[in-house]
Amino acid sequence: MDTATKERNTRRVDCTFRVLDAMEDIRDVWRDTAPLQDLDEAQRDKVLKKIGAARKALDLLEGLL
Amino acid sequence: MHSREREELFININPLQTAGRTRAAVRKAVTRYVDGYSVCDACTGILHDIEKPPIKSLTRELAEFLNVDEARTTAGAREAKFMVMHSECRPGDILVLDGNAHYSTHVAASRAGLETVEVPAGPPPFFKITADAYAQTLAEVKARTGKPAALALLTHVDGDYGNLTNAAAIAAVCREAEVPLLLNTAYTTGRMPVDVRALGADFVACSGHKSWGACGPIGVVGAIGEHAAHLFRLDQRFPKKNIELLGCTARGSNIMSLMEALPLVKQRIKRWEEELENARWFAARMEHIGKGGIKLLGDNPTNHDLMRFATPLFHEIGQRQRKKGYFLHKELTDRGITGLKPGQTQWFKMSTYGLSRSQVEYLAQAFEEIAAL
Repeated sequence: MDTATKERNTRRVDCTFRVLDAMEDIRDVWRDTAPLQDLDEAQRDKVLKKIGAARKALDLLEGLL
Repeated sequence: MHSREREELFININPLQTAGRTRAAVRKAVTRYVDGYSVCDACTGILHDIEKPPIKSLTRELAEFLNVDEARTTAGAREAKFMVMHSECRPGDILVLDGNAHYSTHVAASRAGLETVEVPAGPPPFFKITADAYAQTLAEVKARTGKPAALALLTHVDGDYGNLTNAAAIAAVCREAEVPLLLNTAYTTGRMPVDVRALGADFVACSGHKSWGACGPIGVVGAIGEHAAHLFRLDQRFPKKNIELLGCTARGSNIMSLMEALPLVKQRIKRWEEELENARWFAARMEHIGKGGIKLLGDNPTNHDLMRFATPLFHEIGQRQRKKGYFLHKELTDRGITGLKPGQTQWFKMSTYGLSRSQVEYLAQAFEEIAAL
């Protein structure tokens, strides 16, 4: 396998895990705030940050196809 | 596709599950190591010597954390208990155990071919297990058989009442009677600080999926001194393999979940007093709400997050409800609370472990509303 292919594949897999990880972090917020999920400012910021990270990884992944 | 959203959508008070609830770091590790035998890529012959991922250092860290000489992972506390029984005793030997012991302790003893002699729990509503009762039972066994029992087992905190036993006093009694002690910490290590050596026990059994926030099935067995050497003896034909461990135990995402959970556990046990304060506040509130119709059983004030309540009040309310005994479960579910057994109203067990104070207050408020129906 050539280096470019190897690098591309590694980045694809890395992006996949970054999305999964961001979702697990968000899942912790639901757990911490159950059952009402009334988020305070810090929790809301955290969810938004994780959504942003996931979106960035998804865009990158899309670009690597 | 089966799905479970219980921890995200509800406050779960099932005492079996509250301290096994995982955090994101643990679930991330599980995702990466979910394939069978995934930790064995760099194996040199035995699980606890694997350096990548760092299972070798996890094994050392577990022994340090529990303060025992040697520790290994198992599939759970019951497997740990069986291993110790099988290693220390011969079929027909006597195991002395507390009257609040978990069923799996009895089943493990049966599997090892042991005769069990129970140390009776004290009378209701406290159901206390005392050092005096252990001393008396151990003396009776010796008088009957002419020799000490082969092994004693103490359930550090039991799963029925959440009673915290005086393990140090009971260990001293066992030592005096020359009987090694196995401490079943399925409900303590991982939740609260436990120093096995300081308590004076010879063996410890732990449950990762019950009390360490690991996905499991995973447990830990630990031993001190010559007991460790015997428990972890090696096979002659396969000299890297421990006999009682059947070679390798947890060899996948379960051990990785424990690896990620351990640093979190080290932090959370520092907050045990906070957990205790939440549980005590909740129990007092429940007794206040019940006006005599809700009573905490076992230690009162409680010394653990697992609590058992006698609840004749809810039973009485159920008689007037269309759903009868199922009303309590339904009312709680409607309020986003889960974990009680459907149909149960005369008594129930629950746990406040890991809940924030506002979640505990929400819980109390829900019970207060239901008590007013």
